[in-house]
Amino acid sequence: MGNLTDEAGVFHRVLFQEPMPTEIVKRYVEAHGHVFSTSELAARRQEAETIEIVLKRQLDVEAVEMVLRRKSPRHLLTQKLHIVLYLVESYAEYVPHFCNLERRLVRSYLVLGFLALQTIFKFLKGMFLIWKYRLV
Amino acid sequence: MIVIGSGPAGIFAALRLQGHKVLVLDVGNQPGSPSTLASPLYQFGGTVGSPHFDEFIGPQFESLHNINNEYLLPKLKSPLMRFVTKDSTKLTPSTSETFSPVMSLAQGGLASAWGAEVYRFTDEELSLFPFRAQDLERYYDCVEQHIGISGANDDLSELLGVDEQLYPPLRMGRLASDLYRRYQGKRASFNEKGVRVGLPRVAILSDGHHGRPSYQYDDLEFFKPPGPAVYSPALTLDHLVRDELVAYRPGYYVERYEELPNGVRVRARKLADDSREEFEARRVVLALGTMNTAKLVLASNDDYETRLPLLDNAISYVPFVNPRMIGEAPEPHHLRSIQLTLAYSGDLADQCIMGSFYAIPGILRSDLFFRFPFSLRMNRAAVKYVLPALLLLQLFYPDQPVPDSWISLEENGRLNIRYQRKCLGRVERHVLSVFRGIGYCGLPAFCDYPLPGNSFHYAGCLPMSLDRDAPYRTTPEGLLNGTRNVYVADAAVFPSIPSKPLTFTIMANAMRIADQVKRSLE
Repeated sequence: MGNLTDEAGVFHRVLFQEPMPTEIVKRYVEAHGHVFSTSELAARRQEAETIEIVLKRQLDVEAVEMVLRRKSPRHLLTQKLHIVLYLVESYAEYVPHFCNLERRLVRSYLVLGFLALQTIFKFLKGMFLIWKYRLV
Repeated sequence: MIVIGSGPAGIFAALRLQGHKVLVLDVGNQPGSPSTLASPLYQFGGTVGSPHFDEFIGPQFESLHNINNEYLLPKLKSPLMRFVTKDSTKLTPSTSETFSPVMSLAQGGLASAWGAEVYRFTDEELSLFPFRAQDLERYYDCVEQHIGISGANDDLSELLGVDEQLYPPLRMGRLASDLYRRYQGKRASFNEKGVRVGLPRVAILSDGHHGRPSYQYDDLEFFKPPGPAVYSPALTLDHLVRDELVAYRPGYYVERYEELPNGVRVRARKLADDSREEFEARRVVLALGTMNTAKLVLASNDDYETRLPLLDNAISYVPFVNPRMIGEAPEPHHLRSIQLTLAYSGDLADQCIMGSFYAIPGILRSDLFFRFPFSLRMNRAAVKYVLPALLLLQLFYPDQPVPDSWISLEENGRLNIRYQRKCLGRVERHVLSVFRGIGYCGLPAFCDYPLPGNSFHYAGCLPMSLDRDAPYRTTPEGLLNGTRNVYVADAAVFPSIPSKPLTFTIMANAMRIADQVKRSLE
């Protein structure tokens, strides 16, 4: 339980740069139980260990996840982040994160351009971290 | 008379057979209590928190299904739409590595969640059928009068036929309107390249029809059962039962039938208490949906060897982005997802390829989040800024029987399915290049080719044929060869399928077969 609440907080901070509200943390723990059975998690021990290393060493989750996703689109790390995304999306407070409420043509191009460059940097960083820590 | 199944085939057969002591047997799962959900996702009206968590995500986190399970269409996985596929994996289990079947035991069948596009088959598309388009025309007309169709006579009329009974078309969104306007400006060039675009013909009312209201746009088609403006066979069933024109017994899973000297005996499992009940009638009409019908026929013959042919419309998804619309605010009006229809006829395909342009205003962004291959933050920005500029084209491919696509029944009751996947991509690349000319961009790398079975357009297991001795074939009248009283009314009897949605023809053909059943009793 402790691990799940901790990882939920980290994932939320990576996605939205702020702490996860307690109500959503509870829902994350509950949803996690619905999505993954105990036996499945045991069978995916290697992926779980990767997440443990990433969290313990405070590695760049975004960089590692992107590279792991290219190798395995259903990596446990990606799936856990996906749970967070689904849960928060139904909350009114998160609408501005998913929906462009006002017309912002120039801003959108600037943001996308900057993040495209950052994606390249993150990918290279992710490759390095995966090589260095032998993550799978 | 017994009709098994309440999907489009069963209900239109029952409609035609009304007055002949018709009993409809069905599992008949229904939606739960009516939802109070009225405003779409992203319109919280000043509220905080998640007032509709149970409807959007679900008390059992139903919307998270695709994270760690086989892919289900967003519309089928949302909590209030789960009734459509409920119990199907339990009662009709299957094994396949090459096919992803979706079956429904709901009242109305898969048409409880259909796109409602309705197109008539042409003579060319019926070339393997033992009758001509003319033989179906009066049934098409009859179905159209019953369900009501909105659309327009436009560039596609040459392929779809002119229809004077259409209600006005449904509202188009900003993006589709822009694409259509640009297409019309360069129509000649598009047509030269084999591409035509027009408005979809849908069984959704833009005006009142037989007491049903016009469509209320609410962006909730992915989250709750459609209202009466969207035609569903369940609406007709309600009417038939209310007026006591047919008897309806839901909660029964039919396991086998057996021919009697003057009729048929049907054995069904009553799901409430797992008991068995038998029903007898002079004729039985099988309309359980292609694969369930095939399963029932094989089970009734204790046949665990035969491989029946299987047809499916292969599909692909082609995303188009209009760069001028990136960063746009949300649409001022709510929409329906299907916006435009495309047809391609040319050297790249033997037959016409049809497709639908979808807008995606009312879908959970999380369903699309990891479709983008970038970093988390870039994906979030793409979902936020690029989606308003995105139209998704879904292409359908025709199918004919091949030896490597088949379905069989195992002794443990599981269906074994094998399907030979088609090599797609040429039409997608062509269409991408044609639309680039009017400012709609896309890359072949972003096209998606789902596993066969995701079209839900299954057919051909018991095809109609003029050979009245061949086993597991049906006569042009729908009578199963080797039987005297067993008729098949669903798409299992189609010898081939074009790239068009099948449901309209399933309805019309079921009425035609029902007439043959009536005639056999005279």
